[in-house]
Amino acid sequence: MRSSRLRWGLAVGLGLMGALACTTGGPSNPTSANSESRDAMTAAKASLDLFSGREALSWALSDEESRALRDAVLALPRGSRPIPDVGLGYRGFEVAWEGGAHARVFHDVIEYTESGRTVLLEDSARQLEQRLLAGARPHLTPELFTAVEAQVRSTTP
Amino acid sequence: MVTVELDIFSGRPNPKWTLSEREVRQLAERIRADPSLLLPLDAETGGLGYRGFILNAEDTGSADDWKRLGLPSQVRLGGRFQPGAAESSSFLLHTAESARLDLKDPGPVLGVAERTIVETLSVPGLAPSYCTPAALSSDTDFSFWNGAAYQRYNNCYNFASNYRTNTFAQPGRAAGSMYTSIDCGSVGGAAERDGWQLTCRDDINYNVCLVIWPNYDYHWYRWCANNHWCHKPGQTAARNYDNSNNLITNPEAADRGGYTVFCGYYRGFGVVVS
Repeated sequence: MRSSRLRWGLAVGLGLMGALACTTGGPSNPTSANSESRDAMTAAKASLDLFSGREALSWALSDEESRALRDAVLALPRGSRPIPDVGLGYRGFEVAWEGGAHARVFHDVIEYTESGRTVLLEDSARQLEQRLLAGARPHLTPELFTAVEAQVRSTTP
Repeated sequence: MVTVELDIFSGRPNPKWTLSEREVRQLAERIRADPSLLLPLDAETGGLGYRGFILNAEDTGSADDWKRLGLPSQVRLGGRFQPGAAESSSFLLHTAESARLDLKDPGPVLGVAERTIVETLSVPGLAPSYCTPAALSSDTDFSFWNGAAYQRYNNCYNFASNYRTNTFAQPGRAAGSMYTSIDCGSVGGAAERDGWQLTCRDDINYNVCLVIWPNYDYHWYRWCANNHWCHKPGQTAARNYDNSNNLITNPEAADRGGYTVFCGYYRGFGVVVS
């Protein structure tokens, strides 16, 4: 259990370090990014960036959902707005694929990092966030889910 | 079932509404954290205008948080002379926004109440509590916390303790006994086991305070240089401003999002957390 957590932490950490170590000028077309590594990215974990003190809630995604989410991310058009600095409360979902790719999803903004390069994407229908919210339901108490759902639905951070 | 009556009119019946189960739970948590919020029905809470809230709990037979805490069936909260209840008063007032009130235009009435509640904050007595001599770190340079190698792995408790462990430190874990529930008593008690104390140290003090998002999470602030309070919301960057982007000079009055319960101030120095 502990070694699994460590591996997970390392994967997330490396992904994030890559994200923070570069600017947001990524590949000209995110869908072209490293398709050769896609097969290696069937396993993924999602987490909810919500708490300040407690550890973030996270859960494993099925291989199918992991692939579908990544395909959905890669199909999104480029955006220009960064994820806002919210502070306390709901700050979005994160998905980390085993191969190192990493996505932060907040409302209609997606920050996707792969191979050390980060691109900003736009999901105007907020489908990715809705999908992650639906996937979070079994992992949250009904009351917490309701609280998160209300914050997700908020149009302002 | 708990109904709230905004005590504000002289001739007309006061506006009333019913709290949701969740709102009752949040209110009960506030009262549990600070029972002094409640006043007897005949307490002096103001003259004409806003006089606080009257809470009526009707026993519907089901077990609710109100009943579990043994709270009275009719009681007062807030008013002109209870600045310590300002936050809970604001909370109650906001529950009216989603309720159907028997008022043609509730906005101005609720606005008067809100302004009066804010005014009570200027009453001496609701100011941050500091111990001196105080240990102060920069209120603007957070490079110790916001680097890529550690920002994600240190939380509000790390920041409050000024101790970067890269373990997302939890109150009580270093002492071998973590909190068991998310409320002021349990989280604050766990912090005390780590070495935080309610009284001032003679030599030097980090001044920190604890707030709670009832049942879900806790958060800490630390007093920094230039009379600003700083904090680090979870994995995000450390900062000196609140959710409304205002510099924090009083954590009790800052915009804290859902962390609505203010528990109190703690002091320590060199507290080891993990």
